[in-house]
Amino acid sequence: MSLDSWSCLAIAILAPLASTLSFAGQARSPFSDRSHNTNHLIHEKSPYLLQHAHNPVDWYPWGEEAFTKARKENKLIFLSIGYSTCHWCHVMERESYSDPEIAKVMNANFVNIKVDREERPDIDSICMAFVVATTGNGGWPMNVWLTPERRPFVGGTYFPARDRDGAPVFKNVLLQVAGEWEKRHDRIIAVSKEITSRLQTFVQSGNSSKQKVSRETLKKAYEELAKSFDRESGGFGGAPKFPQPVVLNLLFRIFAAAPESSDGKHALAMALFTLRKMAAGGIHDHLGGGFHRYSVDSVWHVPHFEKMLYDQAQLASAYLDAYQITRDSFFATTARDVLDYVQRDMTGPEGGFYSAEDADSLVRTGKSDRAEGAFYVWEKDEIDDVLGSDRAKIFDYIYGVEAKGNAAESDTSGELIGKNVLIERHSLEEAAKKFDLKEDQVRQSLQESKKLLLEARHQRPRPNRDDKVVTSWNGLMISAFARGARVLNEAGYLKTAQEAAQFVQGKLYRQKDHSLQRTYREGESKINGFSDDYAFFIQGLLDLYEASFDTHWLELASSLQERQNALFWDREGAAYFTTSGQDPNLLFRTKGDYDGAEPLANSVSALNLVRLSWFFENNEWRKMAEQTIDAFEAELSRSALSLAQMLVALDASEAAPKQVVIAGKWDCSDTQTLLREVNHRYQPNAVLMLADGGSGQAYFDQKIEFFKDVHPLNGKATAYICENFVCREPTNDVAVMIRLLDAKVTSGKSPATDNSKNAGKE
Amino acid sequence: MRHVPNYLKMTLPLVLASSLLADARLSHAVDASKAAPGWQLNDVDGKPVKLSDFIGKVVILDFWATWCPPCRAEIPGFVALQNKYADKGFTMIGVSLDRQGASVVKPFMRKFGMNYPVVIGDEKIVADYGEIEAIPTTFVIDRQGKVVAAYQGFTEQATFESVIGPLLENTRS
Repeated sequence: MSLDSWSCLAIAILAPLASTLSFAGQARSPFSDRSHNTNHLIHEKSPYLLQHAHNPVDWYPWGEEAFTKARKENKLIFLSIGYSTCHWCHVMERESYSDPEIAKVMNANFVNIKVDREERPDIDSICMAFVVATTGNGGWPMNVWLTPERRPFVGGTYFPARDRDGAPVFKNVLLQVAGEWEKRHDRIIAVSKEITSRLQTFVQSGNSSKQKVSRETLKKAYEELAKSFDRESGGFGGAPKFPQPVVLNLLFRIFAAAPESSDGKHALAMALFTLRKMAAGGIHDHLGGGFHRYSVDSVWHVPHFEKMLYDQAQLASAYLDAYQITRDSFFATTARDVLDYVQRDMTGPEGGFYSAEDADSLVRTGKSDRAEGAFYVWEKDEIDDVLGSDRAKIFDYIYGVEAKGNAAESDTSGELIGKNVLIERHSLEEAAKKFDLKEDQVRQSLQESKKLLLEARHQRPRPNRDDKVVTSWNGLMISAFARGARVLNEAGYLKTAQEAAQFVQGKLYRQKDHSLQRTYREGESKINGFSDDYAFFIQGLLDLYEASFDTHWLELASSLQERQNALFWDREGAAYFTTSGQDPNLLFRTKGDYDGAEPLANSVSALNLVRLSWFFENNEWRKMAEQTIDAFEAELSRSALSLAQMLVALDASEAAPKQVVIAGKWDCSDTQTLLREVNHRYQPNAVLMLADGGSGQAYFDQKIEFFKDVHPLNGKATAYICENFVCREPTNDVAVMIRLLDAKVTSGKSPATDNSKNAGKE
Repeated sequence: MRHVPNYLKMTLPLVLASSLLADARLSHAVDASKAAPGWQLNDVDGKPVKLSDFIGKVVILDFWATWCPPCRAEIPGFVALQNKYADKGFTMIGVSLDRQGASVVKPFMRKFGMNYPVVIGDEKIVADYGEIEAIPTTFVIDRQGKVVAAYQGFTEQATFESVIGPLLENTRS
């Protein structure tokens, strides 16, 4: 490939999280140099962009003004992409972008553009494809040089400001690139065209397969998981360890499809063990609730401390699944812990959910030192002071607090010397035994301790909170609260879900064409929604209907699905593009190929389409779901696990849905009794509807024929259950309904089905 | 014909023959090659109808209800079978398990253009045909009054056609 001719620019790229690098002692506040400079980012709403608004670098937001300047002055564009809770993005901001000398080089040679990837996942994914293709590696901060026509030609991730382990120093890289542009201007233009066109072909050739994805893929994924399962600590593979909620979703599905099989049992065991270990680990905020993003070690102990909305949403949901399956209150408690944290700390006054909390914070009020995790870690003396020795000895024992600190093994940066990252080392029972107390006494002491420490923590400077409201992430969180309301029978969670949905509808949705905006902060968003905004919000609305039975949400989901289809569907190759194709400033459209910390929009959409087809018996949507899954056949056969959530959709698309209709008034106790039983159960292939005899019923009457004929029998709430294309006798009897709900689903693999498939071909 | 969702096409016909008899879901249903239990029930206009009225005909006896989506999905097929084979010695008979009886079934029949007799089922017929717990459940009865096949769940019209075709050719009674 012609990239070889650019070996003069071959830049060794450092992984942004390279643990060998230490920046201890260099920390300065990103806000400490605000004094004189103000650049073009000052009018932006994104907290991440605003963090750079006072850099001496003359940053521009992505847009015409910057493009024109680049064209007019024939300058390269330096495009730098990050997000507000990205630790190494902050490091680069402090070291390089705040440095007047480096800024001078940047301003003289480039038009500098800053992008918040959470606002613009479209630009981010194109640059990521480029950086990965040219360097074999990608991450954030992501820095790419573009020609004035905005074609990428060289890029990388984090560059240190000073020489360190032989890595290319940022200033040298800047000068080198500028020099090349000066000397070999035409060649760069030619190469950038070539790269772009190759990249486009490469990206677009993927994910438009029309081959059927085989169910064997699920088995393959299971086997890969079983192989990489960490029997000691839970999770999969080694350090760093991410929670991977999409993998947990998949494992629960594999269990539900064959609960008696040894694979099914092991799938469940792996998921539950992982959830227990994560809940006990330092990745879990034991005082404030919620989860940090991932642990740098393989034992869930020392995390990167940022807290992302999408993690809270998906993990709460995974703990709810675990609770439904096991009825073990431990999982319910952890789910509540996450939901309560989001309600308290991450929900805006108008109902929208905020995006994230930062990892770094000031070490002391009034000082300018910042450190990662400063808000969350403890010295033993601090704990002893706050709790007094009686409480402290129990707390320290249970949470592994040590005088010398407890994080040395995982702490490669040395930032945690003498500090403790709370991790559950001993159980209540063990503590009771050790201190010769009753378990209740230990529990009470621990509750008091947590309360006291949380109060003490409130005195510390808080990490920054990214308070923009992202539509897609709000969709995930609406799902979690709606499911929490059902599973835990908690009206407060339903209210939170409804308020968030109302917020998105009010601020981020345009009724006249049913379209969504991407983000909201202090006023209207300028950015049109992406495919994941539609997908995740639709999922939230489907869950919200099943929790509230307000058909308004189902209707909104349905119109948004139509809109998503119109804007993003690949009419030639199936599946959804991430972008609408309406932005002339993007080089090409991609579909993504990975269920990562956030699931892929296509995976979530496939499941939405299946569920919508269950609600509305819409065959068209069902077909689109299958086409979406099949479009990723090549990717799935290469690496089944890279698309765990797509496999969840595959499982659903092949399942015989269980249609549960409860006929009765929502606020009547007999209706509630039936609903509670439905809501307690893990039934991933069920669709729940309420025939309320009122407006809800009128809505469905127009959409699905049989609904007119569903009524309460004998004047009492009645359950109508159909499964596997067979309906059971309607019943008022909760015990009978439970039997029908729990009845084993006839497996799709039984000889009877195989026969029937043959018969169906006649 | 009414549009049938794709997923409904994954049918589960439980032909009462060979090993499929072992399927738990119909284990206590009436046995193949046994005489179909007789019955007398009222149709939607209150007129008595009995199975023996149809002796010498091939009969498809369909247990169904108005609120049951897969049952509804089968009905256009049954209407077509009645149109095609009624004059060749065949009849469809519906047994509605709607608790509200004729008041809901009659308007439904009009709307779907149902052209064959429908009786309102009772507990006895449900018990006699094997404690039917799930619908649609459909029996094919030959000219001699013997049950030759039974199906549970949505089943394609073509499947029924392939079973009744040979039975209709056998005109000896």
